[in-house]
Amino acid sequence: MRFADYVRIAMSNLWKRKLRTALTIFAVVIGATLVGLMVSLGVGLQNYVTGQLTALSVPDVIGVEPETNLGLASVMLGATGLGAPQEVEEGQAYPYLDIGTLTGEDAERIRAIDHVDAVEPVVFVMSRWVQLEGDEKKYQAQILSSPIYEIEQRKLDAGRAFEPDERGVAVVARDFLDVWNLGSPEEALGKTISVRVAKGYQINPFSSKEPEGQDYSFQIVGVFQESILSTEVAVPVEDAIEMARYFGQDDKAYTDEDMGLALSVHVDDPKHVDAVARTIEDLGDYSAETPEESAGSLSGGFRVVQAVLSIFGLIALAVASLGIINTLIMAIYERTREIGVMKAVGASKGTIRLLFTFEAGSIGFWGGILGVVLAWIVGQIINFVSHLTFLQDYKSFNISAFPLWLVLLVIALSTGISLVAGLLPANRAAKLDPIEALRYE
Amino acid sequence: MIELESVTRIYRMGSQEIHALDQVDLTIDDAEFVAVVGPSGSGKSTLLHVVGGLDTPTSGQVRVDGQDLAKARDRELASFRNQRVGFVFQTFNLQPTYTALENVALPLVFAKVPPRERSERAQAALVAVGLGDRTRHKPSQMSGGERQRVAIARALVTDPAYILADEPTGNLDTATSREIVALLDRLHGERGLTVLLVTHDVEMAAFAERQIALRDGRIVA
Repeated sequence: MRFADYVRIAMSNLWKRKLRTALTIFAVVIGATLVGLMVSLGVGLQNYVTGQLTALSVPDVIGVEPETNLGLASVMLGATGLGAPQEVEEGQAYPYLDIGTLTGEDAERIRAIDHVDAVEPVVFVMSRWVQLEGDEKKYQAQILSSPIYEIEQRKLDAGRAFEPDERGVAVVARDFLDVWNLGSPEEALGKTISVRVAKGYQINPFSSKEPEGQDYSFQIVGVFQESILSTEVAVPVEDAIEMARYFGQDDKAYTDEDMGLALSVHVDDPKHVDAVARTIEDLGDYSAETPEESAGSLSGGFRVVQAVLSIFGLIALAVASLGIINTLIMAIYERTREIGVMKAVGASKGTIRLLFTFEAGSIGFWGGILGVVLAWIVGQIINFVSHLTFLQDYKSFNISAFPLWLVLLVIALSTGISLVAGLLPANRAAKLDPIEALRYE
Repeated sequence: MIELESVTRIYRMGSQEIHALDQVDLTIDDAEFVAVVGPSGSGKSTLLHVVGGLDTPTSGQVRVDGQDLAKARDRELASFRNQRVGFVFQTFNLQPTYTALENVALPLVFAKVPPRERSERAQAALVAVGLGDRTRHKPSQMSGGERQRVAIARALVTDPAYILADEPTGNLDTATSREIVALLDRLHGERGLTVLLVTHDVEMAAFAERQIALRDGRIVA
């Protein structure tokens, strides 16, 4: 039998029992829609986050942290009062907060590695607010210390990165322009902002009294492209250190004695990043993460999320496959005589088997196509509604994304599951004794 | 040429064994018109099924034009039924949803004949049985005699050497029965077809050149 005839006969048989076929396909559609929609949401989210991270990440910079033997579990245990009693020494940090710090010695060891250009501390400083000169209102801001090699590679809407040894300058997130009523990024350049830093870790959440603090002035020299870091204020490392020392009331912060929790390591060429990261880890005391690794661990996580979300759809598809088996077994009873005739005029077992397999596959194929269409429509509705509501400011972000591979995957999956479901009825039909079948009333 | 050598076909009905065919030896020459007669349960239909490759004997040899059907694989038997023989049944066994033309063309579908050629050959077969003007009709729009002609056209469409007709007149009135058997006789004469006609109607059997009588699975005359 020719391929086109299998398709034609399968379609015409399904068409003869429209309602039953429609109901069987409907069950497949539900499964396919669920799988398609769930994966599309996962893909949308992944596209967004990895897109943002790729925009933010700098390909020749490695993040280094001390290798700490404290896992998340022990942190949780310590914080909740569970676990074995642990000895505490005076001046020691709380055990569950003790994640270890780096020193100038660590920085030297890493700087000595081939292809390492520069090592800078990642400075941690919390600001109370940022305020544009001449503006009454204050806004939360995330202060980031930015070595020149990092900020040079970030995408700016206007202005420039820092110059070597430059102080008192800042590059701010695009989102500030709206609240400061600045029409274009160029307008922001040259304006002055002040950043308030509180003195010490002294903020009492139960008090409305503003803690003692100090203002630091910066001139805006650049504006970042819009990104997920929507309240970012990047300042030169030296400025960040000055603020951090006031904030921590610790003059030794970010000296050779204490380089903080993490180091930013600049490699002379992105192609050496992997080798350098491995060398750092081989030193034994550090964990090093390349930009690719941080993106990779993230996509791995998203794949898990997609898989978990898809389970509901897969369960629905499995249930739908029972419907397919049922429909085809019914069809065998109805068409027993016809199968007998087909065998009498020259159909082999294989032909009959393939014919029923095609019917099963067709149910899955059409169910998959309708499922993809339905999932796409629902996805578009979700995108539309989200842009009107909670994603108003992120119009470029679609929660539901439908790449071609997902369309093909859903159709292939529902067709494949249906084909498997068709095996049992198809074999039954193939094994019918033609003489019995011809006598069947 | 059809050659049966001590062919036995045993069915099991629960614990009981039924010898539908019992040590049957039979030779049918090319272009013979043979009637197989006998009471019901005598093994007529089984003989036809075994000769047509629809059933395989429990023991013995069935050779059609030298091909040993007892040892053939399913695929070979399917091809044999498609190309070498044409079955005609008592209950016509037409597809009610197909037109006459589509019913007749069905064997050509399994023969991988392209659609256009299928229509042409099915049309020609319908003309040969005198139904050239009824091709678009469905079985429900036709009389019993017409339906059996469609079934005969279906049996002819692949140009087989053998027509195996199992009580083709069992559901028809006498006048129509005569027409149908006369048609088979004419095809036998015009095309040199070997016709095996299973019947218990003495009048219809009289059309044949030779009669074989079966009783309890054995040839008695």
